[in-house]
Amino acid sequence: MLNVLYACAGMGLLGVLFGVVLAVVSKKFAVETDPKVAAVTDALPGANCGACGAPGCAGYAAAVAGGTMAPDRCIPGGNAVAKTIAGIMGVAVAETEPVRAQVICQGFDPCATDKAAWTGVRTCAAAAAVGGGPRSCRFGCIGFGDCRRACPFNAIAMHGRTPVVTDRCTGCGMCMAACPKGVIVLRPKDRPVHIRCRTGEPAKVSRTQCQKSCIKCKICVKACPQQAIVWMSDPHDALLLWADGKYPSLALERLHDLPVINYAKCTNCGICAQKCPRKVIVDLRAAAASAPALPVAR
Amino acid sequence: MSYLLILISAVLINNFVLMQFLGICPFLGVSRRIETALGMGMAVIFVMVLAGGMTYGIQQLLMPGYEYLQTLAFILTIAALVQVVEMVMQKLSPILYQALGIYLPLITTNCAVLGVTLLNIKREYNFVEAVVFSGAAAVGFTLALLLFAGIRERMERTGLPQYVQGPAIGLISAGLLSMAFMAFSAFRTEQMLQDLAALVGLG
Repeated sequence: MLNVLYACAGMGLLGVLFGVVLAVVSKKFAVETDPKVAAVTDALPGANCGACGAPGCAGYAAAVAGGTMAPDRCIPGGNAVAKTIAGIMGVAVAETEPVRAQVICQGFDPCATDKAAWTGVRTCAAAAAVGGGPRSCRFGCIGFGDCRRACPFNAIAMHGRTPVVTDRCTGCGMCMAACPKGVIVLRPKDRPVHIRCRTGEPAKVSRTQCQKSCIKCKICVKACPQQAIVWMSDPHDALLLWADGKYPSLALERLHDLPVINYAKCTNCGICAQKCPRKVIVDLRAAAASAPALPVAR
Repeated sequence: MSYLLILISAVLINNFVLMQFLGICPFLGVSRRIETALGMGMAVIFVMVLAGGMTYGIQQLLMPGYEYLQTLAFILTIAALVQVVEMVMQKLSPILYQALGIYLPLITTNCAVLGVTLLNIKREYNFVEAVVFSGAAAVGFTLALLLFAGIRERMERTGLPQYVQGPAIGLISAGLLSMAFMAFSAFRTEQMLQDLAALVGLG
């Protein structure tokens, strides 16, 4: 019994001794830190996703407090966090439309199929490096889930080989960077109409590869009452749309010979989705009404 | 002679990182730049020597009959020391503090530090021997870290294929470095050690 007491007392004594030493040293070597850094760090989501360009939330907080970065760069935090940080720093920020990831491909079974069996490492990056991947369309989604693994918010679910972006998406764009095919991009959040194909093949070829492929008929461009659909025929178009501010990722998307919705003009009428003969343009409201059946895991 | 023997043995022949595989975490973590590697090495030397001396004292004063508290007491000592080092470094060298990042508080769980304190007791060293062994082990750690950082700095400037960049080539070169150090196991006997000491000008 006494042994136990001695053991406790000894360890306690040791702890108190070190505690006193640490207290003295911390007083003696105290460092004054900018209280703004701590305040900004507290305001950030703390996911360390790196979407702002700084290495983690602490790095971004230090950069904002130091005045080297703008207070509205936190994409997951959105306008709310931007406002809080701007309040701490005493500056004003403009509102931006929040974005989220969209998969711009519908080439999942049975619309498109595998032209070859892939037996290697099950990552999109590995599969894409061999002959453009196992899918029938070399522009389409491979479906091995590189986007899901890249997501710092667990916002992407894989239904078999179909990636589904859930409402947890914050629009940080890590999935976009991870996708070797560029079929996952950022689009304004809460918009129901999306163009979901990025094939570069002419109609004759793409028709055979996938049931829901763009055949470059341009019906959508003619059908839109707002002239909001732009036919991307050269990279300059991308820059013009990008300058509109509605497309944070368009300059990186390398879309060519494809339609793109200018969401600054789009009124969500959904006419293009009705007119598209290949069901490339989807209206999420109509899709929700008819309850889409997701492909089952194989 | 025995101090010299401890020194050479701990630095080269039984190098903590490359031969006994202790302290691998900072070895891979902070070996990107020679400056940070040197800073880490210095911090570890400081912590190890002090920890070696202090735990020796604690062992002699408190431990008889309470050997089961050894790990607890030693870790407590090391943790407190690392805290001190952290605070001092933040004050005196904020840049180095930033560069070392999470690896500075992680010296607490650097198994090389705990390893050296436990080996001191196991090998029944006296106080001076314990301190020399602790210092030598830390110097060996620093040596391995510096060699590796030098290799990695050069490697960064070569056009490596993407699939071996980063951790992959890091682990491969760590393995090769470890194999290279195995050559020192040839100096097994005291006579050979003396020859080696004479060779490097210490004998």
